[in-house]
Amino acid sequence: MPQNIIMLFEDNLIPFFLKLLNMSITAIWLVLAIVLLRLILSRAPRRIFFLLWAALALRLVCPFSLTSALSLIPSAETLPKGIEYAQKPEIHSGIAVLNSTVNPVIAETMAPRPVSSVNPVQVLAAAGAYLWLAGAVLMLLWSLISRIRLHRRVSAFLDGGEGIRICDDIPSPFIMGLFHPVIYLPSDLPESAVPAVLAHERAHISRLDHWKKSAAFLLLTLHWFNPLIWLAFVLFCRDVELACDEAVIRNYSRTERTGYSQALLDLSLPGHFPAFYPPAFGEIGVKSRIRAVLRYRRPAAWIIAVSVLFCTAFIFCFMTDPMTEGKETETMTAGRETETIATPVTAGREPETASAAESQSGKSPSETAPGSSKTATEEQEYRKKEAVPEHSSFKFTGTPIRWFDFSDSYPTLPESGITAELDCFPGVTFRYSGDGVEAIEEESSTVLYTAMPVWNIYFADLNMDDIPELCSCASIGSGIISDQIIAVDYKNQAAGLLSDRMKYDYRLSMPEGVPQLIAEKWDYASQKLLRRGLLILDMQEASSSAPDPSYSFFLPLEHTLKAGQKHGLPHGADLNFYPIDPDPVLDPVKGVYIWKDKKSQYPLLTDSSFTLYEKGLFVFTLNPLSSYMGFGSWTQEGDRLILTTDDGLYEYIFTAEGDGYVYDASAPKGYTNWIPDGAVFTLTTVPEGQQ
Amino acid sequence: MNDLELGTVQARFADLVWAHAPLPSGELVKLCERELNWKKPTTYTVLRKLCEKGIFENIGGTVIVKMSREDFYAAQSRQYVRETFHGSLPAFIAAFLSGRKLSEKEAAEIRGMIDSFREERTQEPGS
Repeated sequence: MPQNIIMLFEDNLIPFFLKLLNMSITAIWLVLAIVLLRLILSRAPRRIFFLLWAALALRLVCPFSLTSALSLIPSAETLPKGIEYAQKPEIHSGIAVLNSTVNPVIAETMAPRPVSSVNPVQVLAAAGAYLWLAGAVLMLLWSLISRIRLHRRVSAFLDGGEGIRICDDIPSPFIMGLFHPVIYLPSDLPESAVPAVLAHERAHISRLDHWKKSAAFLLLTLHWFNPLIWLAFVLFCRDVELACDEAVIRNYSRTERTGYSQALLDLSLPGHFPAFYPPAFGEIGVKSRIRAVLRYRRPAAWIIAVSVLFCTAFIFCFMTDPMTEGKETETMTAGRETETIATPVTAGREPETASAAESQSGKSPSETAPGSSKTATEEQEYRKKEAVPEHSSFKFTGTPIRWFDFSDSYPTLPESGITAELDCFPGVTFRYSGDGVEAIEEESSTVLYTAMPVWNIYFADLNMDDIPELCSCASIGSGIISDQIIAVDYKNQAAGLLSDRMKYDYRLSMPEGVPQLIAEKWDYASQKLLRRGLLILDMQEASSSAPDPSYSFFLPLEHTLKAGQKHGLPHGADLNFYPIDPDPVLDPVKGVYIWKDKKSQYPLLTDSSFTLYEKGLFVFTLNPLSSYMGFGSWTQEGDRLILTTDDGLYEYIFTAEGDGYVYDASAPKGYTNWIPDGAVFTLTTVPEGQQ
Repeated sequence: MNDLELGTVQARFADLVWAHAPLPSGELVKLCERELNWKKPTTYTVLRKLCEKGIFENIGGTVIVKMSREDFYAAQSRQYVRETFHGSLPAFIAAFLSGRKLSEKEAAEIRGMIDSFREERTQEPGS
């Protein structure tokens, strides 16, 4: 299955590349700081700088780091984890100006359409990853080839002593060989310069400079796309030469030093193109080296002390990552152009479903007191919720917009209700006045639906006509009250519904960090979550009573539910959950099992789940946004559960443990890239009394 | 490097060949390996370079001398005098001797050389 291998390869390559990109961006700050320090501490001995270079090298290679409040790095994760899957990609560069200029552009150009499976960011990330790989491989090949050619060139040599060889055709002395370094001298080297050259090269070897330069070159290969790393490499090579000079002349007398700098002068070559490998004697910045040699003095104690101080400060400020502040999360959740929306992020139903999954004690989730399990910052945000803007103005850019969501706590509404306007409906004002929602155009107003209360209203484009529908969860009915999801297509004057008054509650939410409408189906009596998925239009079910086939999935507005009335709508009507087959309403469900990736930043985006149906079928989703869905049959032998997809490609094997199942990744046909071995899928709910 | 110049390494190799030529190329390879620690391709490469300079020639696997050592260095010296002293031998000798005096023995040797060359001069035009 070559396609599988490619998929697995890409799934590892792309996150690796993004992590590398983040490290490279973080390293930019270090390089700038080092450049600055080199200017300030120009009198300091070069050896101090190797501490800084080592720090940079660590940063370029190691993705982990401690966090501290002293960090001067704006952001250690400019490209947040999972950006290639996010529905609303954005960067967290840590620089507000940069974020606010770049992110709206990205949101407009790179956000995937909700129901399509093409994510521009993922495509771009894949392209970038392959390009990077190609560049790195090319660079390695080039260095390998030049090494071989050099080796051939110096194959004609004369033995010059221990570890020394003399060659005719080389422009300057150099060292070749990592494990058994050999000094190569040009045959026309003036006699007077030989001692100086040998001293210099031997110092290089004893300081392991040939290893350092090779390691630096390897890092350069990894980060070849970052121009600042090239600068860092050049400066590093210069520091290596200068430090070597320092080591040689440390104990030289004045005359000896003059002789050494004379040798440097003799060997300086005009217009020499710097070779990266191998290190050479005469190439690097000869003038500055001669100057350094002649001016050399034993560094004063205070210079050393100051340098050490600077370097320590550097390490603390640049080798630690910034702590994730509350400000960052605000940038993450803001991002749409609205005038004033003081209602910040709602935590959605996540804590309630978690408690439903973990304790099947039948605790009613909708009664979880808001604010009971929140941290200090959430508490602050919760308090902000009390202020509800009377009027909101929205610009629809393709991703769902939250008008309001009072699911967690219902506030006091202003007398005249709250209103909202959308740019795609000019002249129309939507108003929620506590007992219903209406649309006001000029003088006249149309009641869209009445309900008490309306829990939330979102604007999302479900039928992909680029105009949003008004999607709402409301409590409807008197006597028997149930939660229902209503979608009003104002443009076409039609509406759709998800309702089943005595059997199920349907709830709508847009959890934090998930810019998608999530619909949930709850068992009315036991208040257990039965089903969760994206709210979509069921294109396949055409209602025969619809007047116009193009609106077959919607009912005309006059059929919309008014309080207490049911208009003979078929069950699970026109709005639906994705996927559809088997029928979640008609087919009895044995159990829904969910695995929560505890390490994931976007919980709902990464929940894997499978539903077992009594009739032997299963549906398996990797995560709510993945376009992959596994359908097939399941069998259980003893405590081994085997899910086999209908296309024969995959086989998921679990071991029963209590009420749930443990994933066994050793299955040869399993898709293990997403789910780790031993992942525990807990039984979320067993519906009672269904059908 | 022009045709009459040899780097240190090439000079060492040439000395080896002058000392043992003519000899089969295979033996030369073994010789270089023993004396200089060179591999076969290296030996052949350097040999080729010297053949291009017209000093040796590889005919059917045997290396022969085209320009003897004395001839080569003499030609080299002549070129040096031509380039540096514009062909003026006296100028060359003056430079060579600057700060140094001729001994009796050396003076006698040179006088003898001049006499023998002067005799030949009538036979060889333009030397």
